[in-house]
Amino acid sequence: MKYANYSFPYPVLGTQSAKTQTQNLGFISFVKSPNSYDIEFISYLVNEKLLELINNDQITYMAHVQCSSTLFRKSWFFKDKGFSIQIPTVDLLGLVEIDFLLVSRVDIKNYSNDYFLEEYQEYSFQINKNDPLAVLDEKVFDIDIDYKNLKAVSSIMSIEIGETDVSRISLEGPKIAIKLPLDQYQIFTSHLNKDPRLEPVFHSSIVLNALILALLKLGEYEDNLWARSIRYRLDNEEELMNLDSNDPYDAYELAQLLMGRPYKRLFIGEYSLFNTFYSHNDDLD
Amino acid sequence: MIQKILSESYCKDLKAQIEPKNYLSPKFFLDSSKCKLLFGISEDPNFEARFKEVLLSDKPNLNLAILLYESYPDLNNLQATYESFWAYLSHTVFFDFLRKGLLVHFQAGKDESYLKEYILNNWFLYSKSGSFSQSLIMRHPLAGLWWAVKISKYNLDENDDSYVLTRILFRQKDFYSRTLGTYSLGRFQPAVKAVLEYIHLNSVVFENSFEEKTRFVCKYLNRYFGSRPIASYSKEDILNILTGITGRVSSIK
Repeated sequence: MKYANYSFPYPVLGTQSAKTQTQNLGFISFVKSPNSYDIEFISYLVNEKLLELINNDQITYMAHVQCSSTLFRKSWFFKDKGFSIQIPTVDLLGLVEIDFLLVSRVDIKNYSNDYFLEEYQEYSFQINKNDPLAVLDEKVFDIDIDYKNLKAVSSIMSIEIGETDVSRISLEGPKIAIKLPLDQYQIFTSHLNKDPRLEPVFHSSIVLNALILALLKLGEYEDNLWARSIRYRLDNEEELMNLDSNDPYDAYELAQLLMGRPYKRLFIGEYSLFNTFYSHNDDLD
Repeated sequence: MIQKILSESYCKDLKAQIEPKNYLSPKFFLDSSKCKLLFGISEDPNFEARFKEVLLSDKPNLNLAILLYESYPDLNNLQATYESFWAYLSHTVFFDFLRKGLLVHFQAGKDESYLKEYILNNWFLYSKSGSFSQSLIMRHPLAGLWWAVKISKYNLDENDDSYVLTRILFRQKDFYSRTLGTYSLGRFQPAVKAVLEYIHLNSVVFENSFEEKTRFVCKYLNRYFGSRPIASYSKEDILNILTGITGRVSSIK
């Protein structure tokens, strides 16, 4: 449920009716373990009135998880500002909506708070049991995405044996597949992927090219896991948000940012070309 | 015996190669070498005999749903969404049952593309958009029955008669497959049970215009919880909300 843009009949912190709408109020993290999904909730709430109501057991933190594909819908209530829940892997599939709210457990008369917009400051409201008072965070997770390893290239890309004598790229499967000719593939698996000094070279050439192509084709493969994983990062990471993956210039930049600046690693750092070819004592000329 | 299911690739191939004539024949040839086992789930050896009895009963849909659920009580939520599981059943023990529906459309002169679409919707868990959802499951002729029992049955500690509410849900097909079952409140069991218990407690009110009244109740709750977190409400809270609209429900003709 999209609470943040919803107009409630009374001011709710974290929505349009509050002064501090854009403030970071809480955070949901979602990690897949072998047998369960581990979901953590952390509240950054500092509002004195709401903290007082929590202490008085009039309101509680509420975690709400729902999944349309498995008809799963459940809530948990906590008094602590940080808590976690585990959901068995057999209970969820596809998209999972998670809300982190503050809800009333009793009727509250004459509720008013500093966060109200100016036009509501002189009013107080009748809050009923179960009414939300704050939206701390709300997210949609795709359980097929490995959020824990999202930044690892291997989570979206694989190196496979190709059937031609030139390298090709396939975007059809769950991962972007770079298909190397057999002789190159054998060298890759026996040497290249075992030597960390060669990673910056490999990333800035073969992998970066494949990722640029994939970004330009992102819209055509929206349902594929690699595209969903990249889309999640584009929508959630601040430095990626203003770049357009359809634009070739932006795609070039995005690919570098998604891979953690491979060119920088090529030139600077422990395994850079510079360090590989010139010892610390050597002069550049 | 361990339950068989189609392999994913076989299921995909069957879907890609649908020929209506194969589905109009009395028996479908299924290549058992392309089937897999669903470990942890057993086949009911008496299922076919019980199935025949159920079809002769006065409420075949309800009784078939209960039979299906009782035959597979240990399916977990994920397994109960496997297309390869439901497609195996639809091509084996339920083949003739589903074929009768297809025959009606064939005899009515429906064209091949209509028949193919019908087969996709009834033998497979198919959606045009490719997205998998609650409404897709609830509208499926087999999966919908199993899930309708799952969301409405009482646990043993709640009631000696597990199916009091299930019988109400099956009073009208659209109730489980189109309205209550497919609404987002349908995935919150306390809400489903509250609606069904409300109907049970007000049986006189629901004696007539059942479809109109249940539609009103579902729409009312859907609107009510449009801006409220339904999952923070208990079954009793929701029953209280419904009790407050009994006058309006009664007036529906």
